[in-house]
Amino acid sequence: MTPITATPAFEQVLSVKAVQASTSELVPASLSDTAPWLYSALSQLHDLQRAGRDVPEVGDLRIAETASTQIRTILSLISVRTLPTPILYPISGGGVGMKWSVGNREVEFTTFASGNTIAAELENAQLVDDCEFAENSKAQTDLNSYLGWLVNAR
Amino acid sequence: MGLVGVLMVPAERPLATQRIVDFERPPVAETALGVVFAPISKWTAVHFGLFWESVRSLYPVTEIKIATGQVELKLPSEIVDFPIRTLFVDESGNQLLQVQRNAFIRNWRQTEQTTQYEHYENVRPLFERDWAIFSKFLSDEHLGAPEVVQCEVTYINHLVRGREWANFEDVSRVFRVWSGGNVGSLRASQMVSFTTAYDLPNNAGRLQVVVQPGIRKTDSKEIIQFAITATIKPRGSSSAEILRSLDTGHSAVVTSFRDFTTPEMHSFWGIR
Repeated sequence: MTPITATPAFEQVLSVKAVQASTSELVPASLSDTAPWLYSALSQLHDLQRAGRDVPEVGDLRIAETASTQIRTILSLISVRTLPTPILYPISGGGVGMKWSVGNREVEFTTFASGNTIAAELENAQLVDDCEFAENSKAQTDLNSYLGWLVNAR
Repeated sequence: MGLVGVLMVPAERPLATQRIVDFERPPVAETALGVVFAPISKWTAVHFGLFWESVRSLYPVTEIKIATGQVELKLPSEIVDFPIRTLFVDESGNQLLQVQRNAFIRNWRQTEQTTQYEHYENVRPLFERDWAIFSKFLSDEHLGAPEVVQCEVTYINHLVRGREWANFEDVSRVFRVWSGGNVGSLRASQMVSFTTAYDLPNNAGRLQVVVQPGIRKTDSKEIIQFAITATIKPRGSSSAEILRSLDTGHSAVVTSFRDFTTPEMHSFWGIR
């Protein structure tokens, strides 16, 4: 969390680390420094997984493991750090939706139980662009391009 | 958040081949043995390629990254001075060297193919061999002997959601230093992250522990990364002194790994 103070007299003491020897592929999810929204997304996903039920006449809202893995993969590929908190919601049949809104713009990821994902840009609730998300470097570029477009609405 | 105190580690130096703490299934994802030295003034981008010739049979794969540590990020006057770090990786992908103008780091890392942890007694001789090759290279190229200012040992552990923990309430079952519980009217912490730092006995150096949640890219699993780093100031730049410093750092790291975690986790990881 970014501290919001009227008198910013506080300065964080940075840990002394001459060499960061790590080469590991971790995406830090620290709320305090890099991506405050990331942990919120993970937390919502966990809640959805825990609460998922097969509700008669409504639908099967249990989240498929493939879908939740895909959502975490998407989260780990995001390099735009100045995002608001997303909203995650179940999609009947085992899928998960994830949506960011800034002003009149929205970016939505719809992940189905199979893991297949559609990403969409919307402005004033009208579709601007969409694409199928695949795990490759182009997908990562598309993903960050969509989210970059979103934050530019500010 | 930073805490400074004194960590108690065994006063006498253990034999390098002796296992201070031993687990059947430790959660280690990566280890790094590093040496930081004064920047080698004559080192240029060309030397990465020349050095590769010395180790190419051991490390046939290379990757180029931005240098780590206290790097001045400005456009250098000469492109050959650009602050880069080169990774020299073996065929398995598990063992690698990282070299930059002011540092030499030797890593072991877990890969999807090879998850078996490589013990310090196996990695230490590899470090010794590679450091000897590097030192000879510097000498042969008339680049001067490195003036070592710091040795560093880092162990990075991955605690996987669904394996070591299910939710953040469980963090107190993993770490002795985290008591958990409710705070006033607040229930069920949604995230736990902390950093602590300690002075090592006899002014030997410092130990830093960083606990941070994240997503592991290789398999998209949610993890808590538990990184322990010991930084030791060596008394000189000889290979013997570097190895002594790494032994001290290793001892502090593995002892603190045991001391920071609970007996329940020790059983889970199969303490011997």
